[in-house]
Parts: sequence; C-alpha cells; structure tokens
Amino acid sequence: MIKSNLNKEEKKLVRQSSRRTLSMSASFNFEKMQALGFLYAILPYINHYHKSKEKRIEAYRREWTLFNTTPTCGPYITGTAGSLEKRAAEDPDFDPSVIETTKASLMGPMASFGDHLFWGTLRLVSLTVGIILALQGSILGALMHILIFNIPATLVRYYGGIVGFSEGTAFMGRAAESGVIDFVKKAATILALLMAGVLASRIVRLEVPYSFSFFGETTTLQGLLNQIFPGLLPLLMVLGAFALVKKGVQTHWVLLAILAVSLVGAYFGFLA
Amino acid sequence: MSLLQAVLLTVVVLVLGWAEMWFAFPMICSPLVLGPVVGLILGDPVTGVLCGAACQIFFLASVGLGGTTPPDGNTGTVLGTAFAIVMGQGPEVAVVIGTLASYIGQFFFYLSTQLKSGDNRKIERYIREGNDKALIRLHWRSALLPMLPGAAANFILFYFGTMFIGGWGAYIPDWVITGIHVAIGIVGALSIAQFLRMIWSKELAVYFFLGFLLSAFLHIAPIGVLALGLVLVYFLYQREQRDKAQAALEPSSAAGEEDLFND
Repeated sequence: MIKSNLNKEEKKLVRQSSRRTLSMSASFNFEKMQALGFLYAILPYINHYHKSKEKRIEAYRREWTLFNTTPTCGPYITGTAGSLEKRAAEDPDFDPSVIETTKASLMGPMASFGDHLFWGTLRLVSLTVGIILALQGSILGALMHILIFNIPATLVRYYGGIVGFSEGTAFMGRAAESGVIDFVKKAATILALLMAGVLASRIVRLEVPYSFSFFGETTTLQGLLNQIFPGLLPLLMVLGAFALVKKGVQTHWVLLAILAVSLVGAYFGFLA
Repeated sequence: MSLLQAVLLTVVVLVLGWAEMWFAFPMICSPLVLGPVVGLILGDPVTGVLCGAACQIFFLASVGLGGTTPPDGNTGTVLGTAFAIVMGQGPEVAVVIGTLASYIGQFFFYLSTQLKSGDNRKIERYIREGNDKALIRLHWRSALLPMLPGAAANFILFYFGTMFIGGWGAYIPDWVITGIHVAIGIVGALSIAQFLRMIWSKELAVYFFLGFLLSAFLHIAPIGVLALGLVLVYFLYQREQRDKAQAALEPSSAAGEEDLFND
C-alpha cells in the first residue's frame, strides 16, 4: 500500500516536518485556528525549496490560511503541500494557488476521518482497557491507555508524511478506490463497539438492596436479576441513556438528576 | 499540603498540559493519568488511581455539548483528586470537587485562547518581513504563555484552598458519600452513551452486544476482547477481499447462468 521512493534528503525533510505537526494545535486561536501551527510545520519545506527571500515570503503568506484538522493526520497534508511547494519552486508554469485549494480540500475529510478514528474509536478502546485496570487500583491503567492510543497514532503520523510527500492526493484516490478507507473506518467502529459493550458490563452499577422471600428463600431483587441475566440492568441503563442522548437532552441536567436521585436514595437507604 | 508539594503539583500539571497540546494529544493529560500523578506527589498513589478512574468516567459524560467549550475535566481531576487526598477522602469527593473545579478550568481555557487572538497581527508582520525565526518563537510562546494564568490559579487553590477546607473531610455524612458512590455507577451509563453517539451504526450495533456478552457471561478481560476483535476484523478483511475477487469474475458467471435457464 505504501510506496516510497524518497531520497535521503527528502526523507529527512519529511521527518522534520512530520515531527513539527505534533504541535499543530498548540498555538490554536479562534480566528485562524491551526494556521500558525501549519506554517510552523511546513517551514522546513519552504526554506529548503525556495531560495530567494521574496519567494519564501510568498510561500509563508499562502501557507498561513485558516486551517483545522486532526493533528495526527497533519503529516499527510503537510507532506502533500510540501511536495507542491517543491513543484512551485522547480516549475515556473505551476500555479501556486493549487496549494491553497489542495490544503482546503484535504483538511475537512482528514478531520472527519481522524476525529472518528482517534477521538471516537481509538480513545474509547484505550480508555476501556485503562479504566477497568484503574478501577482495581492499578497504575497499569494509565500506561495501557497511553500505549494503546499512541502506537497506532505514531504509525499514522510517520507513514502519513511519507505518503503525502511521495504521492500527494493520488493516495487518497487510490485508497478510496480500493475501499481501504471505508474498511479502516468499519474495523475501528467494530472494535470500539465491542469495547463499549465491555465497558457497559463493567462500570455501570446500580444496586437495589431490596430483599423479599422467594419460594421460601430470602433473596434480593439484585440477586434474582443476576441469576437470570447478569448485567441486564446496566445494559438497559446504557441503552436508556443512549436514547436520551440521541434525543439531544442536555447531559448536565441528566447528571444533576442522577446525583439528586442517588443522594435521596442513599439517605433513605433504598440505594447502596 | 506543603509548599513544596503545591509547587511541584503546579509545575507537573502545567508541563503535562503543555505537552498534551505540543505532542498532538498523546493522552497524558486525561483524568486516568492525572489521578495517579497527583496521588504520587501527595504520597497516596492508589487513591490517586481510583480518583482518576472515577473522574474519567464522570467527565466522559459531560463532554461534547455541541459548539461550546466543555467543562475542563482535566483541571477538575487534578483539583478534585488533590482535595480528596488532603481531606482523607476518596473518589466520591474527587468527583464532586472536580465538577466544580472543571468550570474554573473552562474559564482559564477560554482565557488562554483569547490571549492568543492578538497573535494574528504579529504573524502578518513577521510574514511581511520574511522573519521565520520570529514566527517559530511566536508559535512556541503562544503554546506556553497563555497557560500561566491557569497554573497560577491552580497553585493558589492547591496551597491555600487545601489549607482552608482540608479539615472538612470529617464532617461529610456517610449517606452523602454513599449517594455519590451510587451516582458514579449510574453516570457510567451516560458516559458510554456519549461514546455510542459518536460511533453508533445500525449495521454494526450487534458488536456492542457481542462485547457485552463476552464480558458479562464469559468474563473475558478487556484486552482479551480487544484481541478477539482484531482477529475478527482480520477475518472480515479476508472475506471482503475474497468477495471483491469474486465480484471481478461475476459478469462471466452471470452470463453462464442465463444460458442455463434459457435452455
């Protein structure tokens, strides 16, 4: 899938720029978003390919435009824009406005792909493993959370830069055609849904210490429920909460309501 | 909390917050990580881990209100955990104080982005001058300086805040702690619901139930379910490749079938 025919010098440039995309969001502001972060990341390309000061200033100006994407997907876009800067420097007939439109056309899809992949699915997968370990008091929870998230993110960042510089937008076309993008999205969603299910069985709890006599045996409502279908109550609670959230109910009101009911329940002893 | 601890806590939290932004959100500033960090500095790592886990669950539920800046659960976790440990309490107190503190964090986050808005005029000038060194300096400065007011507020709360209410732990009635404990268990459902909203698809919903069953009935550990999931995904990938190869051959075989039925 990944073809790379970069020479040593280009590899160095790509690595340098990709490393700089890490801090893409660090100077974020509401007017231009990650514009300065993007410029910071693409500076190595500009300064390498454009030798005269006027050309560099022109390039700084066109690269400092409103920009916002998932930073992890940044290297692919800086790589693509970097290879276009190279063409702009080498080919006098090349229209540099293409760079701006290419950047603008990539940042949206990359943000939606990246947010889904990293903020939605990968974060949930790493958090599930982490939270369940941490609830047992283990420091491994924090470590697993960091590791599971960062290993795939680092790979995407590293290869994104290389692919962007060597293939540019052609890669997106190729990936879309072969269905790889759709498959990655689907695979990530499957993993995240599996982990959401695990989380539902592990972190949601509601104990009703109500006891009664059942065929001559004293039993609790909770005990009876657990015998029939362990975790049925948590599962129903998650599905109920999901229905509320989907309806667009403001969650902080739900949070307050939960707190109020729990406190009242604990005071009168029907919840524990 | 001693002055040394308060200073150390302020600096470590500032560095982690900066690094989270500077290294493309490597998750080193989530409640799950901040809890143990605070716990280590205050000499009670296990309570720190438990507070971190509870805060993580709690703050997952409140993020993602469309458009607005969400309450800052990271600041909430740090202050909540620190106060809980000083007061000799656990996750229940951390979650409540953390929720209040998350609004302080939200204010300082808003302030920091406002402080950066002035940069654009400077950037324009540096570009005009072709001064790339100044652009780089500005990017660095803009990543760190706007975080300082928040850090100062943290320090004041760590040092003077805990001095002020540190002894209140003994006055909290048991039923309040029980009530919050119950609430954390229920809120978990809301946290998961927030995630489901991001990733739900009707076609794939069955995997949510599969994950639940594997965990609730077969008691497979999360990492085991993840491994099974990876095997499953690989299997699906192979099947998809096979289907595609077959689809490429399809036209000829369809034609053959037609011949058969025409007879």
